[in-house]
Parts: sequence; structure tokens; C-alpha cells
Amino acid sequence: MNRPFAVRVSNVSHSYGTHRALDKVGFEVAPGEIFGLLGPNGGGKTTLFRILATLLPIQEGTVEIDGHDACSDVSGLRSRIGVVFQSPSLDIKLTVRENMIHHGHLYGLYGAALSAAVNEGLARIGLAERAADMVETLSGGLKRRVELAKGLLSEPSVLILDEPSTGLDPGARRDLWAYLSALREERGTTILVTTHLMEEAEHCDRLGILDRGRIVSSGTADTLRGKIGGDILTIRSTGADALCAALNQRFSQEAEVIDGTIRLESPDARHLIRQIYEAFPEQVDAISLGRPTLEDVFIHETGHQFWNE
Amino acid sequence: MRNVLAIAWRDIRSVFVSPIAYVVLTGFTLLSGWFFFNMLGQFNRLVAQYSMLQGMDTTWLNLNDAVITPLLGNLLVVLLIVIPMITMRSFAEEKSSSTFELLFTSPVRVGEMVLGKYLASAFLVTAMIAISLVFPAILFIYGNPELGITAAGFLGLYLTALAFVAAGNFTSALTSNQIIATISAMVILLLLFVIGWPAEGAGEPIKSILVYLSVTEHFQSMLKGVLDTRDLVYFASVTIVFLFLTHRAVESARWK
Repeated sequence: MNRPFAVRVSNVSHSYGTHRALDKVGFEVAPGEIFGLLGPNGGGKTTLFRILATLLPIQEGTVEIDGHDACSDVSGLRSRIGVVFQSPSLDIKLTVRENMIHHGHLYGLYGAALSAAVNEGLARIGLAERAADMVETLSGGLKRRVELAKGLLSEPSVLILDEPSTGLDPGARRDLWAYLSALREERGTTILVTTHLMEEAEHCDRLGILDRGRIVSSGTADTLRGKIGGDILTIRSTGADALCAALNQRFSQEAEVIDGTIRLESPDARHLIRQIYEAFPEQVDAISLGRPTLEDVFIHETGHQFWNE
Repeated sequence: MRNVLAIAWRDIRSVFVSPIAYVVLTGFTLLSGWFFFNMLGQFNRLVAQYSMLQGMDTTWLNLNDAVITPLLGNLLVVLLIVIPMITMRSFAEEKSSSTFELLFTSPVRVGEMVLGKYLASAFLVTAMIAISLVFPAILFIYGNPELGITAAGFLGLYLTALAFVAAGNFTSALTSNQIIATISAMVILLLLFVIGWPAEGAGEPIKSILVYLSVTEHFQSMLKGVLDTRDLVYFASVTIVFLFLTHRAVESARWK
């Protein structure tokens, strides 16, 4: 049965005591899509990841993955997801193949079907040669690949990854994303990633920006950047507050001071640089112009820096 | 059942690729061998001494009472120390890594996890007790101990060990710290071992309760060669209660 979505999260809220970690979060992910949940630490990503991975009960709202409801059909849902944790979930005292075989057993794979799936998985991640090696002898990047292969062994329709690039060097990160893209192309696997890395978020088809337990914006990276409607001027000044007020009065702008730096979004930013220099030559220490980044989108939507938690 | 065996196989494999299994098995064999040969030596000395004294009643001097019964008593004390070291890993090690959470995201049920882990620990304990059977085998080759009493004694030791494994798995399910799991298990096992001590001075019904709860009482009964259903029910009950408690502990850990 073809569904318009592989993952549907509706009005999910979660509290730890009085702290509300998620507040009516909702989004849908289409089949074969790579969807990223971007947010700073403490934004609610881990809570949402744990709910999607069925590690936390749903307090409010509904979660549906590949047609299985997380409340009424948790067992069916678990059989359709692959989960890759941020921290290693491998038995380092077993070989790569033994780790894969054990994981296959948990998903009801045995005999020839399991052997074929393990061999295919190892070949796909380029570790067929090291199948007999103890996991403890592998590098961080290779361990991550084994985790991925494990997560895909049962051919899940939805793969959920928590901060997949964490701890990987740039080369291993590139390999990881090339692998995930190929996986989506070849198998049509839906991929859901939580991340706090802008670079990682750029690889996603669509993003949901999560801050303080709420999805503050969602869309493709380009759509999100387009919401800013111009370029970004960043001005450093010793009297940032006074200069900010003067700028807003003089140019009718909505500049704001964030962490001691004046930030201004404007469709006419290039021309504004010259005008600002001419109007406030003494107050401006440095000024820079840039295309909006996802971090700018985050600031635009939340009014605070990504990393100021 | 397949999931139970899959979890048990992984744990058994994991224990046997590390030095743990070999250290435990070697240590247990060395200790039990030390006990056995000392008791056997003592028995031989007694036989030699009494055979020189004519007219002495030596019917009480037999291999079961002089060697097997004290050997099993000593092995029980060794198991009380060793089993918590075997079971400490079962859940605590997984809890300290993401492997525990990975199990929770798979279609495996908590009951299957608990049984799988129990079987894995029980397997190592079974291997230990199986190795110790070499000692009565030596006695049967060179002497004539009573088979029924010997078998009942070893069965008692095995059933006690299985109950201890369930208790050890329970404490391992409560924490991610293996040292805490070991010490807590030792405390529980020691309590089961000594709980009957105040029974002598206690009035009814406390006395009966303490005697019934004491693992030593039931073990002693089997050492005498008595296969009483009450003892079998006791060992089964202790095992089931701790398996149930482990299930509850793991179930509650899932949602933390």
C-alpha cells in the first residue's frame, strides 16, 4: 500500500517532570526522503529520536511509521525501523560478522537468508575483507559503517540515525553521506537524521528546525534560507547596543544585537554596507556580508544563536 | 524461543572470547580440586587410623559423609562468590553501552531478553558444575559411594546455583555498574544463606518462615539424599521470583 508519508508525527509532546522537552511537534516524511531534525543540544532532538525509536512512551500525540502506530502496534513498528545510535552499540568482543549475525537473529533472520543479508551488507559497506576481525580493532569510521550495516540488515523501510557524523573525520563523514544517498536511491529507504551540524543538515532533502521542544520551521535548506529574504550583515562594534538602535532609526531596519554582534537581514545589504560606513565611521569596527546560512535561519526563527545554550 | 537462544548465544560467545569464562572455570576447578583432594586425603588418613584399631565401629566412615557432603558444602560457598561475578555483566554491561537500547528497538520482548540472559549465565554455571562431576566420578571408579545420595547432593548444588544465577541477573538489571551488581548479588545470596540462623531461637510462625526461606535448609535436605518436593518447589520459586523481578526491572529501565 502506497502511503503519502513514511513517518507521520502529530502533536507529540513530552515532559520530564515540569520540563517540557517537546511541545506539539508535528511533521511528515515522504517515502524515500532524507529528513533532518536540526537543533542545538537541549532542543528536544534526543527526546524525539527516542520516541521514534520506541525507547520512550508517547505521552501526547501520535507517531506512525510505515503504517504502524507507535502506541497500538509497537512490535510491528520495530520490525520496520532500523536505528543507529550516536554512541556505539556494537559488541566489541565479537567479530564484525558475529555482530551482524546476532542482529539478524533479533529480527528473525536465520540460515541462508541471514548469510546472504550479512554478506550483502558487508560488501555494501566495504568491510567484507574484515568480516572476521574483532570490532574492537576497527576505527571509529569503520565501526559506524558496521552500525549502519546492522541497522539495514532487516531491510527497514525507515532508518533513524542519531547524530550520525559525531566522532567521524571529514573523510568518513563524506563516505557516510555518500552511502546514505546511495541507500535512498537504490532501496528507497526513508532516512531520518537528528543533527546539530549545519554541514550535515545540508545533505538532507528537507529539514525541521527544532528549538526548545518546538519545530520552528521546516522545508528544504534553500526554502528555509529563502525565508530570510536577503543577505546578512554582521557588524562588530564596541558600542553594539547604541549602534544597533541608531541603525534601526536611521535606516528603518530591524537589526538586533546577538551575543555582542549586530545582525541585520536586508535584501539590499550590499548597498547598505556603504551607507552604514558613511553614517557611522567611528562606531563600526568590522562589517561583513554573507549569504544566509542555516544558522542564520535558526537565528531568524528563534531570535537567538544556535550555540548559546 | 529463537530470540531467547539468539540472546543467550551472543552472551555465551561474548564470554568465551574474553578471558572471563576461562578464568572462572579454571579458578573454580582449582578450588574444588583443592577441597576434594584435601578431604579425600583426610578420609584416607582416618581409614588408615581406624583400620589399625580393632573392634572400632567404622560404618559411619563413608565417602558420602566424609568427602562428597563437605565438598558440596564448600562448593556452595564458592558459588556464592563466583556466581555474582558471572552474572554481573549480563545486563549491567549492556546498560553502560547502547547495546541495551538497541535490544529495546528490536522486536524482541523483555521476557525473551530476561530468559536469554539467564540461559547464558546458567550455561557457564552448568559447565562449572559439570566439571566438578569429575570428583565423584573418581570416587565411583576407586570406591563405592552411594549413587542416590551423591546425585541428590549434586542436583541440590545445581538447583541452588540456578537460583543464585536468577538473583545475580536481577541485581545486574538494576544498575549499569558491574561492581554494584556483584556486591548486591553477594548480599542477597548471603542473606539467603544465613536467613535461617535465628530460626532456632524464634517462635512460630517466624521459625517456619525463616527455615523455609533458608537456602541452606533445602540444600542440606538434598545433601542427605532426600528428594522432597518442597525443596524442588523452593528452588523453582526462588528462580521464578527473581526472573520475574528481573523482568520488572528491565521493563522499567526501558522507559527511563
